[in-house]
Amino acid sequence: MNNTIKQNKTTDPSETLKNIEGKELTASTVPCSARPLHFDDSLCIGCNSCARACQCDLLVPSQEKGRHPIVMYPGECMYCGACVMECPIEGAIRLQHPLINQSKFVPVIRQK
Amino acid sequence: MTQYKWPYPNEIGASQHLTCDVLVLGGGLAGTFAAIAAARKGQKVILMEKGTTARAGSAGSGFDHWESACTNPGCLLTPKEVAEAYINEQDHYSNGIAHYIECREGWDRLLDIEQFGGKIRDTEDEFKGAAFRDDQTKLMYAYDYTNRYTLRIWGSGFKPALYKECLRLGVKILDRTEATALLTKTKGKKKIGVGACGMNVHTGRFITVSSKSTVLAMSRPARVWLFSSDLPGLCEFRPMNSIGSGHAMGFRSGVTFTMMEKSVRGEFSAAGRSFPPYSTGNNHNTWYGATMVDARGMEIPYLDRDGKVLENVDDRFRPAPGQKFFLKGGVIDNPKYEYRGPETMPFDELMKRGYKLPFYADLSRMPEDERRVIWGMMVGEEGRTKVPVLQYYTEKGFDPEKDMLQSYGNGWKSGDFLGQERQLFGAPGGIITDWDLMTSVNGVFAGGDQLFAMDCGGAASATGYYAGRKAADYAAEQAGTTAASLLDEQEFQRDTDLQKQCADEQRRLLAPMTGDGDMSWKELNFAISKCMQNYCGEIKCEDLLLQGLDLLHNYREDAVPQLHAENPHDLMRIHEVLDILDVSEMILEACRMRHSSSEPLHFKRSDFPEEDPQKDRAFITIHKEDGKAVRGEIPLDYYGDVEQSYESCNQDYIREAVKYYE
Repeated sequence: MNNTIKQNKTTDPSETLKNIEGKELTASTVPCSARPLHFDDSLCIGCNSCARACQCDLLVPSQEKGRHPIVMYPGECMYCGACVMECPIEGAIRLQHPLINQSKFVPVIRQK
Repeated sequence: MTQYKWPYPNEIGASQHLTCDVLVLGGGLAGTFAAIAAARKGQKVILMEKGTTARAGSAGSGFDHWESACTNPGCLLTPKEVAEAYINEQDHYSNGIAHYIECREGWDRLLDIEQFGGKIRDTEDEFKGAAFRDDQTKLMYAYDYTNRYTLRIWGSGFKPALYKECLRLGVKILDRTEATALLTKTKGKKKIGVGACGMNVHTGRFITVSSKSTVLAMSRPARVWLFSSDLPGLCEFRPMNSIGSGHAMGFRSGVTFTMMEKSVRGEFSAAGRSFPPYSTGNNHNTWYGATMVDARGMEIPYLDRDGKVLENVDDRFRPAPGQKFFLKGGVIDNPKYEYRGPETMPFDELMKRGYKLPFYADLSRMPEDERRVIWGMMVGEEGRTKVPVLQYYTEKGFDPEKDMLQSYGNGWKSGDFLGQERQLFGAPGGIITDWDLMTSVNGVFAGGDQLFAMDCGGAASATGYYAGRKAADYAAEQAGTTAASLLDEQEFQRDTDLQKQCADEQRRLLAPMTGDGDMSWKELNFAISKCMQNYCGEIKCEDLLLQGLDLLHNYREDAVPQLHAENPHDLMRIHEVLDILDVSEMILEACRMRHSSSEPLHFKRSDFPEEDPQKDRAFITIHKEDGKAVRGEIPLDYYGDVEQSYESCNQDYIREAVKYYE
């Protein structure tokens, strides 16, 4: 396969694009009404397996080594559970549907 | 709101050019199977996936039953019988090609998955002796236990297994890379696909790929009518990433679609009206056959198609007297008498008889193996159930032997929707193809949910593999053609037309990073969905559809330039909304093209109220030419006799597939 990477050479001549090239980018947490993920700091080893498994890419690796990823975009969670399924430490990450989506169960009624 | 440093390199402005024989766009079931098929034929394959291939797509976290695997050793039906039943059931607004491929080759794909390490049999004998299990092959069946054409499977392991097989075969996988546009050349009046563009959603690097053929496997549109700016990840049934970018880029490049006028009243939107799929008491799909009770614990009867009360649980899984087989599954809603299976008493009748709401699923009344197979296997192996449903409710104390789970909405759906809250669901529109699954653009193939009137994961797998195999054959025949010569990088760089396509695409993709706008992707997505609810709701008419197009045009002129991205992730979400804008326009234009109403298409026009007149019993097609939507018409049974047509163009595969049956 013929692979070439031309770093920082753009086909767009616009000045504005040049202002962004190579600059340090940022990300801002976007809060929402739900808290899909809970990390247990005492168990999490900061391996970022959950961030790699997340299809919605709502987790961003922490800058601090060994720390759990930052839940940058919690509203984008589709509650698939891939993050928990790929986590090597049981209990380090917990996924929970928002309160509106927790359905009710009751003891069965035994028929006479 | 806290601001962090973006942890990935900034490659905005950088570009990378790659070449391959077969390019696959989308890494779900269809895409990975397409890549495997092409790689098996010795082709160099690149696969682009916006998420990560190991868990990408609708079946990323699981998949619990595989429909219409008619050549499995226990099945009493032929592929032709089941495919034709689907076609009749859907009033011929059905994808006969895809259904037949699903019925004919689905079992082959299951055996492939088993070879890759996936689990398709009850190898641990957990359900030994159950009515749904064949104790010799250890295969487990769903729905119709007599005819055995749908299998219960352990799909939570399928995607990781397919991913590993792609790597083993040398497929070059570009994860976290969104595909954004097809590259095409025009020869006379014919368009030819010669590759695609994309962007790395962590770094912003622009990627171009030259290929001899391309497979579109990027699911179907979503977030067109339904949007929640608070919980956008929950507003549709399909995964957050599946929003119809493949439809949008295909439409922009002249690919022909059909049935895009079909949309149904919403069934799932857990950001609002409904609960997440499979997480409430119900008796459909994954939960089929569950015992339902009312608030007093009174059991709700199951009836056969003649209204006879079924006494035993086992009867729920058997055809009625005089019926050969019945249809159940993802796209089967309210089947015709011929195919109607057992169903609980109609809701209105229950109300008349004094049954009390709310209803519950009470698995405690079922035989032990039926209870365990629903709660523990099906709920567990189906997508988005292992962790958020099975594990969560178990930890919360739910015990299916002692507890019952509530139903919501009108009976036991998981919610009720308004007429204007619509979805592309239940075999919606998509790309129309020939028997090679090739689109109207030469060298561009389609598989999975990108095809019109598609069904479940088994259909996605079977059509994905088939599209990959045909794309590989096509690529192998391209020596000396334009597409092949463009694999030479210097040729590609010298082609001013393609260079312009790439430069325009890169500019389009990066614009929200460079402008001085301040509008979020959510504001525009929300506005589009409100526009579609207002002007393309349950009842449509020309004036409203034109109003909708006008408003979307205004959004394109005024709102799009205001969009702003902080980083490549935001940029990806903006690209999705730009695609939703294109798809919404295609839907409005497609709705304008059908001058009658149609029950099978869930399509109502106040200005053309006549239902399904003979003159309109056809696939109305739509494609873009010189910036305008163009109408076409194709007869409903254009694909001919499904068995004969299939066999006439698959002799090579038929010879090769013998190995699956030895």
